[in-house]
Amino acid sequence: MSVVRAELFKLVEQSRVRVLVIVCLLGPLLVAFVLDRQSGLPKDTLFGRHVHESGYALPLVILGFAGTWGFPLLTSLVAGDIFSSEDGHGTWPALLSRSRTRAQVFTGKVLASALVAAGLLAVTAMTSLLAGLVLSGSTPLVGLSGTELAPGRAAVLVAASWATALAPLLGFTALACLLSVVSRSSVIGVAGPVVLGLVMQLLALLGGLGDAANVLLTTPFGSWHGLVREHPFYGPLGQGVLVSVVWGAICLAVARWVLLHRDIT
Amino acid sequence: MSGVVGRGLSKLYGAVQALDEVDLDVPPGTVHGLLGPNGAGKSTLLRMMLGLVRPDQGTLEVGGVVAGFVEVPGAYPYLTGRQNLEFLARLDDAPGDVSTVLEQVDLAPRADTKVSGWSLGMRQRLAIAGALLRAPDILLLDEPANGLDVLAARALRELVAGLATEGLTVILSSHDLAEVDALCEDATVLVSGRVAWTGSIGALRARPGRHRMSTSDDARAFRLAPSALDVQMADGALLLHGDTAGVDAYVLALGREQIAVRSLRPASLALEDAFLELTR
Amino acid sequence: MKRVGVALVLGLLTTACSTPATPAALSSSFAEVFAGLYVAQQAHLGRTDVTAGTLHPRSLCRRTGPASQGPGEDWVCAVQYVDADSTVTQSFDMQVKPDGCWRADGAAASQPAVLADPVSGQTSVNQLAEFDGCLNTSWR
Repeated sequence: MSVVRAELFKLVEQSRVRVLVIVCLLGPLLVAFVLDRQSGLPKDTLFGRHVHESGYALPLVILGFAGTWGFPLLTSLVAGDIFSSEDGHGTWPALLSRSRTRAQVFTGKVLASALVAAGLLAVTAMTSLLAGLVLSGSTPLVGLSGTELAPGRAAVLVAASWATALAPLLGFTALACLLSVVSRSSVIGVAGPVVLGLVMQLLALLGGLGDAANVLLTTPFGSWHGLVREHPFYGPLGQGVLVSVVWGAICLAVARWVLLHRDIT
Repeated sequence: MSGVVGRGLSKLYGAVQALDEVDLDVPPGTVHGLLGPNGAGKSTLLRMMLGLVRPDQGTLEVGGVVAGFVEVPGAYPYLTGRQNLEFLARLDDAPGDVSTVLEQVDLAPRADTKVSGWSLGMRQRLAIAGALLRAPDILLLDEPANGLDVLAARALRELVAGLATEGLTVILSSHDLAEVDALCEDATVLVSGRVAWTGSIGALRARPGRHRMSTSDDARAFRLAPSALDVQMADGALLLHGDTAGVDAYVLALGREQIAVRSLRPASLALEDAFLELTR
Repeated sequence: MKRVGVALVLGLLTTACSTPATPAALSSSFAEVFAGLYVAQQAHLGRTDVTAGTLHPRSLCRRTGPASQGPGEDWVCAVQYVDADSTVTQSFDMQVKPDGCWRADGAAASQPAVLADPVSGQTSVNQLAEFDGCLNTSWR
């Protein structure tokens, strides 16, 4: 896919994307540094009370934090701008008079956004694990079933937990692409998914939704809770993937239709 | 063949009729001017040729690869000039050589600096380079001399003239008559989305119905002008504007009044006058 | 179309009324985590004979407020277990969050924050003083 490669070529030159990579690389290490300097514990977050006991707790704490607002922002900074920036720079005429069709350009831009999102997720996961191990070492982790998980198993479960964030993250990528296409504004494309993410969290937090909260795109960010246990349960994970796929498919279908049918003025 | 043929092109933006039954004929290998005041529909027509805007009605046949820019010469400010072109080249099946087109538009010395610091004139040339990279059959330029100083505008004119001699079809939209006059063989004048006039530049200057006349007594002749004919006194002659029958009647009337018509010939207007008259 | 829409809304309303935070679900989740932590704690203190099998943990959770289920800070879980042939009952204040995770506070159950090893005298954090767990929030 030449469009994907071309878009990635463009993205890596953007200072915003470079800053994002640096934040993902250094952010977790900074959190570890701050936690190392203070005696207080982030007890309000799952595994927060264990950060000084096991190196596998910190990556899960960061995963919990990131799910609340970090992940939507992580992907919308790229995907929310990838279509609207062409409007902003007046580059659609040049871009769309190449050998590639509009549909190919759409697919390429979406794939490039998804690749960047997945890459940033992997980078943050790895540096978070590294930061945890530097902070507290590779010691057994008390899981959410109350039993201790051996370091090897804990490492696998931490990696798997971060991997569960991929589906809803890509759901937000699709949402950001949709807002970027429809609004033609990078402000809406970038801020929109973050605001919608917060609204969804607020809806879930106010309660009363019960099981209906499972259709929100933010709920799957918590599906890893079922994994870090002696006997994992996979129900929320399966549902989370399904919900993310439905959100993503709807957003992308609408975005594609709008882009292919719109007059570029 | 790589010309452009449009028939009955219409486009409505909300309540604004951007184009209304526009016909356009651009034979291959010619340089065609699109003239008209702002908002006349020139950019909409160019966007249709690039496939960015679909006509509500009508057909547009574009014979060959089209490239160019509309309204603003778009570029990614965070990339260098060369990177901008390299990005576009990645999307082409058989792109031209980036260094060659940079030379062509005289941007090679500044090619490796970020576009964010570039002047409008440099961006215009970069946009042209981007279009040339596509090896187009038809090149669209929208107000290309906008923001260029005299020297840059002349350099651009020479570039376009050179491209035209190589057989490229060029469609140049402009409100600047001097530019169109210097470059184009043919022109189409758009006013409020309609074709007000189309044909060669020469014919636009010498539109029928305008005559220059001198008589034995211009002052008396002027007083005798019939109301059907627009007659003006101008630098030692009379300028007549009206149909042939009206001119004939006037000449006969002058004869009856013992005023001799010494010369009567079609008047060639300054292009600007012709244009102003069309767009009035 | 209309019927599908009505069915969808009704479906959403019924699932909206159902919640993962029921007394039964919380009771079994709490008992599991408590047992796991208790066995690990005793193992740290050198007692390897205590296992989930010998503990026979049973727990009963309920809300003290007007509501009988759902997230809230007014849950209480009582746990009963067998250790050294004597049956112990303890009560924990519970907070159930909207995301299905809960927090148990052992203060009411007189769980000290820090434990001292009777042999070495070394102190360690008492995992039972405060601990977390999560319910299965998927559609049942």
